[in-house]
Amino acid sequence: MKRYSFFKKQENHKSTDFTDVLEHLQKSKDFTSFTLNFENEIYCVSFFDTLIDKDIMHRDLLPYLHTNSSTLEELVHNLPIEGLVFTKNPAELQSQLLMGYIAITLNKSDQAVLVKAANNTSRQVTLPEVEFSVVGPKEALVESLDTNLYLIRKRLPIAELAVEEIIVGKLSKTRVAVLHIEGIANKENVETVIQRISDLRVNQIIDSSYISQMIEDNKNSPFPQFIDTERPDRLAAVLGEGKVVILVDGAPHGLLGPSTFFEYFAAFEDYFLNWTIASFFRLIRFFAVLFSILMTPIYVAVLTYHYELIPKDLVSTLVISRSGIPFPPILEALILELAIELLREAGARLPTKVGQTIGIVGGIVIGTASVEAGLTSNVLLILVALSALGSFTTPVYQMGNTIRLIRFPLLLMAYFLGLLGIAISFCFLLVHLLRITSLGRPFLEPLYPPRIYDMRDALIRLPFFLQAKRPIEVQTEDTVRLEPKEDSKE
Amino acid sequence: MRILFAKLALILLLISVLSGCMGVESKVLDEINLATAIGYDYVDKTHFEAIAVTPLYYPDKTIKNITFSSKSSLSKDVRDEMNQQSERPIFSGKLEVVLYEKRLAKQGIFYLIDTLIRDPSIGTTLKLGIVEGSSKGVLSPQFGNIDKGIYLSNTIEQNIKMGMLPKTNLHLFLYAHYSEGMDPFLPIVKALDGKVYIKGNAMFNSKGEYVYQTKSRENVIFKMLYENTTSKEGFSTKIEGREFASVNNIKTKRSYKISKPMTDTPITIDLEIKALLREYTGDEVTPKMIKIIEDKMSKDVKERSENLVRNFQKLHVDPLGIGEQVRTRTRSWDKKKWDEIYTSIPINVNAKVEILESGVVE
Repeated sequence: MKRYSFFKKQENHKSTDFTDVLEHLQKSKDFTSFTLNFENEIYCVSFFDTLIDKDIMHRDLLPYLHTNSSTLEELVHNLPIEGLVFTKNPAELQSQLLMGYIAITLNKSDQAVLVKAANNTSRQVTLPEVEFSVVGPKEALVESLDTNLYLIRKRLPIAELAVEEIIVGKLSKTRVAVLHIEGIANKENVETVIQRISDLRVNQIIDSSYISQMIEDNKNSPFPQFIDTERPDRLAAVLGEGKVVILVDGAPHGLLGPSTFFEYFAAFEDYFLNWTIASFFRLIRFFAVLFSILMTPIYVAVLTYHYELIPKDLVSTLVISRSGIPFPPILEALILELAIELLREAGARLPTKVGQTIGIVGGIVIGTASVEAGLTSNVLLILVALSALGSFTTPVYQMGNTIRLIRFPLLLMAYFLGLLGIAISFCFLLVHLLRITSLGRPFLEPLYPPRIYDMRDALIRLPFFLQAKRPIEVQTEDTVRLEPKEDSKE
Repeated sequence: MRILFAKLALILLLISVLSGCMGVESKVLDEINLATAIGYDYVDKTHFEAIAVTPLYYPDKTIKNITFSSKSSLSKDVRDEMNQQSERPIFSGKLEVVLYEKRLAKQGIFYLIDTLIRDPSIGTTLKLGIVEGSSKGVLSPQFGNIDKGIYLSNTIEQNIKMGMLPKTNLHLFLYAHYSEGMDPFLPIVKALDGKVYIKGNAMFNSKGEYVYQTKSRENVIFKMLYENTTSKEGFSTKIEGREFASVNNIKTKRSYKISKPMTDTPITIDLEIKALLREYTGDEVTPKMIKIIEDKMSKDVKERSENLVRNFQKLHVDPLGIGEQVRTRTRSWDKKKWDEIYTSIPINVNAKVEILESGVVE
């Protein structure tokens, strides 16, 4: 099923005739159109050089045009390729030519046959780079939608896996695929996604992140509401949970929703490890995130307002490390936090080989030298470095960015109002998290609304046999995923 | 969107502007002087001298104490006068120890403790102490590379955990003072060339006046009678002639038997003591000998305990909280009546010493 959602009203070239279309396309230098005369038939073959696979043309198309066939039907009958479309519609002819089809017209017919010969140059399936795991599958999505669909479908060889395709973008005509498993996924979720994507009125969709930013429930929230993943195995797994997956042609990342806050801290590798170890790693990640958000603000608050809270044995350490530093704690903290952010940003922008020097510059020059110069205290340096490290433990990159961002308002509030300020801004954060939804489902589930069953796979991951039901969050049609043994029914 | 940004901008503006009006004053840790110990010395009947110790931390990790002193009749005045001497404001939020001179304690120290209770930045785990000699002598000498207040607090804490001091702090002092049928006590410290020396416990009467100091042999007994303990501290008993036995690693359990509360029927305190034999100057320790040591010790503890309790009764102080024990067992509690009968109630102590280990000798 195809849904065309582009702007028919604004279609400028309402071509009336095939020849008009072809003439119009002749303006592009990479458009080729030639005629072949056989006996009294004149074929006109047209295509974009750059879009088609010439092997297909030379091997599977041109040799068969010599055979004697007087109509297009006869010609088609002789061609050894699939994906042939007859059309009488000049608009379709044009759009298909632009998708990498070869058009063959016969001089006396008002029909054209379109032969699929798109050039499928894409990257090989490679190792996942963003979500690398030591154990488990090592395939990552690539830029080609067909390859990506293949990677998912080979993991779910069932008829129920439904793929809906929507073309989005007036200029880019990007193919967006929405995947779900019929009978498991909640129709409401699927329809919501399809409706939101169909309603998009944009020129270009370059990447899946465009889609995720445009169809999120709360577009002003710094928190991502769709998980962005490059692992086909993760996509296949969440499809089995009843979630909806969005793939975009040209994007090596897929989106999945609805998602909860806690899922962003679950690495997919957690499912490949024993549940005790996986739970431990998850708890460490949550601790790291809390540490990352709160540590520097607490340092600033305590040193600025609440000296009473410092344990008596720690006072001397803190005072000595701060002695001779001319800045108040807030400035000191801001300087270091900004330094870390600069390092990260510089590291991300530089080519890999140059990027290595950033580590050295950051570690030695900024770290050691600023302490020696008496600009920052070494206690704070440790805290800031640890909290930066903590924010990098988040498996989903977008969430890591969010965590780094929300540190700064907390830091300022800690400076203005001390621990009270931290408490206030933490409440703001909590209220915000309670309010946002992902595809209409609560984001902070299973914490709120409290759903005990879903806690089996949130902060910790219990063994598979204890997760017999699919997450309540998704409101699946079929809730049971672990079927009881036959004999246990008796 | 515009409304959202307007809201955000308003909130930010309000926070940054109004935080000035909320009276939150910043006290940056390295821009203030933290008083860690305060001592009060007797000057005359109405005046006292206060000494505050604040640590100065140097970048080369040495710590030096500076002391401020001032004479007054009100703690508040003292603080002002000290601030006039200091380059940085003095704050008392990290106060660890407050000491009172014995002569001052004799007059009652409650009017001085009042300022500690009123200040919300002072915690109730603060340690109080009585000084023999002057508190200036205890607080002013520099001791090693450690802040004097922290040193004092650690010393007292260590002796509570492992030694002969019963648990004591501001909270417990106040509890004992305000509860009916219990009187407070505090540790007594003495200066000993730069260090301090914990001498014993000072007992206060119900008016908060210092009345009695335990002798060194009474300290362990007092701790055992006051609470269930586990301490490293031990005691020794004369067995026969020149033979002595001493035990330590004591675990005690104390229970009250009050058959008829609020009458002058005898009150019995049962002490169960489990200890390790650490020293014995006699010959071989046989099971038979252990039995003898246990019996002798039980008798000794009983005697010493009963003496101590009798002493308390004579002075009309009740640091053990016997009145408190009676109060929990009766409905007809009457403080006045209790005060009348307290001195005359016979209080017996039953001690049972059990030696669990006699050590490794061979």
